[in-house]
Amino acid sequence: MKGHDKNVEYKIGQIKETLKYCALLVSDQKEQLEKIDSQVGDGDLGISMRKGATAVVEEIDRYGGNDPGALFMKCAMALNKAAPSTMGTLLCAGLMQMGKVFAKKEVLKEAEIAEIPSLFAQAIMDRGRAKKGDRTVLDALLPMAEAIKAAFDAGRSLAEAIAVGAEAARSGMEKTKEMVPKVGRSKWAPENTKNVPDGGAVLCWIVAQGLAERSEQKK
Amino acid sequence: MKKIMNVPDQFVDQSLRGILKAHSSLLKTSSEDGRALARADAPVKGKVAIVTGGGYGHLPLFLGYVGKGLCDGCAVGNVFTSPSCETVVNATKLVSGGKGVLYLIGNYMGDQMNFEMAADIVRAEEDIETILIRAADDVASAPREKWEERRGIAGILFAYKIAGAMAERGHSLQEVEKTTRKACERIATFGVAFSSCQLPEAAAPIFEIGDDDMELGMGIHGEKGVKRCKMMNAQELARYMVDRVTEDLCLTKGSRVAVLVNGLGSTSQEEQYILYGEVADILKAQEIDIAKAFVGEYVTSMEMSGVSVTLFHLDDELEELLKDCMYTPFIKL
Repeated sequence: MKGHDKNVEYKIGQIKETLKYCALLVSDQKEQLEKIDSQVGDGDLGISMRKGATAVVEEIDRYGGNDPGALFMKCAMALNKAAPSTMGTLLCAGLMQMGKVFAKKEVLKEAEIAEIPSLFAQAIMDRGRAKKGDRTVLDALLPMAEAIKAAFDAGRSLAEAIAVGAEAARSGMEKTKEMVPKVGRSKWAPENTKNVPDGGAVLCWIVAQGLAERSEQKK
Repeated sequence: MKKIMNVPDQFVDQSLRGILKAHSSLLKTSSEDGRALARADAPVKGKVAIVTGGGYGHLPLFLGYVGKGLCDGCAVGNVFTSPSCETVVNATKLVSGGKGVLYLIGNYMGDQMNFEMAADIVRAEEDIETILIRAADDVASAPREKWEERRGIAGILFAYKIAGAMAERGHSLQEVEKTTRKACERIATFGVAFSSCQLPEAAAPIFEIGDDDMELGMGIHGEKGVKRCKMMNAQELARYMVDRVTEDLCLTKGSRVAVLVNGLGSTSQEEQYILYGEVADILKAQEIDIAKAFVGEYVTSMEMSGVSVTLFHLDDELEELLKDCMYTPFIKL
């Protein structure tokens, strides 16, 4: 793999394949997410994420164009329609932002791919009005985004950067076990969250970990 | 728990089907989206349109407030789940009469985000101006100085009433917004629950509670309240609830209020009126004048039992607006 060649371009086929892979990772974790959310929230995270992921996979299979921006936008709407829960809507906001930024580009460069976690995190912060330390998906996603960007900018390959990012996501997710919830439904019952990681942070780590393993296998 | 249904995952759509069959002269649905509904005469030209929405399971909230003098359209989600932003967009298109659209919803994060995204889409695609107001009246969920972070519960009735009357009188979107925001700040509710409800697709009730126990300050989706205690009698209950609300609104001798005693779903009207009698006595003793009383089911939580007491602190403008007619399949005045 030419990891250090930063002019590597990703076409719609690879983007679809990767997005689908992420959706299936989420879908496979239904039971784990359900277990976490039933301890701190209303217990629907697992089922709503599976419904959302299934809708995204169907949308990817249906999409016949070559504009990654349009693909992300369609996936955002399909995800929101199938899973308009808080988490589903935040992920939709992330995908919509990617849809706007990548509109009408036929290929994405590696540097643009490395920016995706940051774009996603910013969209979630804007839409959900949460910040680092509020015990949300951001507590895994922000460290992951920063780690990927830093590693990539320092000249590491995209695959290496993703591996570093996955580790940052895991460590961020672990830290949510001790955090007091500031937003969302769990803030009304903060005593239930002790020693349980935030469901959104777990979701982020699962995807990061999966992507890291996948690029490792492709080497 | 026993429920009338066929297939659990069709609970919402089959219930909506019945509502449309029963009230076809008053309600209609978007041709492309059965979850986007509107009053039959929408769009009303030259009137600010009001769109509401939220999770199902709270009838008459939210759909039951669609009609003359209240809301124009509604986006219906699954039970206790926000509608999608696409449904909000479809409801908006169905009612927009060219004078702007007020989104008036309860303060929940999922609903807020979906209505905000819908606002972005209708602005970009249809050039429709929208303003979002969140009703946030549950005293138990945050202190007065952070009232805008409160959960939205039964007091939204008064927000709909004021916004609806302002819009029906032909005011601009900005005028409707200004008076509705003023109203929202003057609404406070305290709720208690005696037993749980169960989601149609779930195997167990959403929370457990002992036969002799009640929960003070519980939310309308079973969100935890401030504490659990033994069941009180009507007088003690009225005293506890009214005190929380009058303190919150800083009501004093001579204040004028509208009162709502709201049943959560399976508390009888007989009981609701016992409670109202006590509430009225307490207010009278404090020389707080009741301009208008509402007793009944206005915001429910399916078959949950419990009640809430809402006080709406009036001024001349709000009291005048309260008298206007409202007419929907569920609510008439």
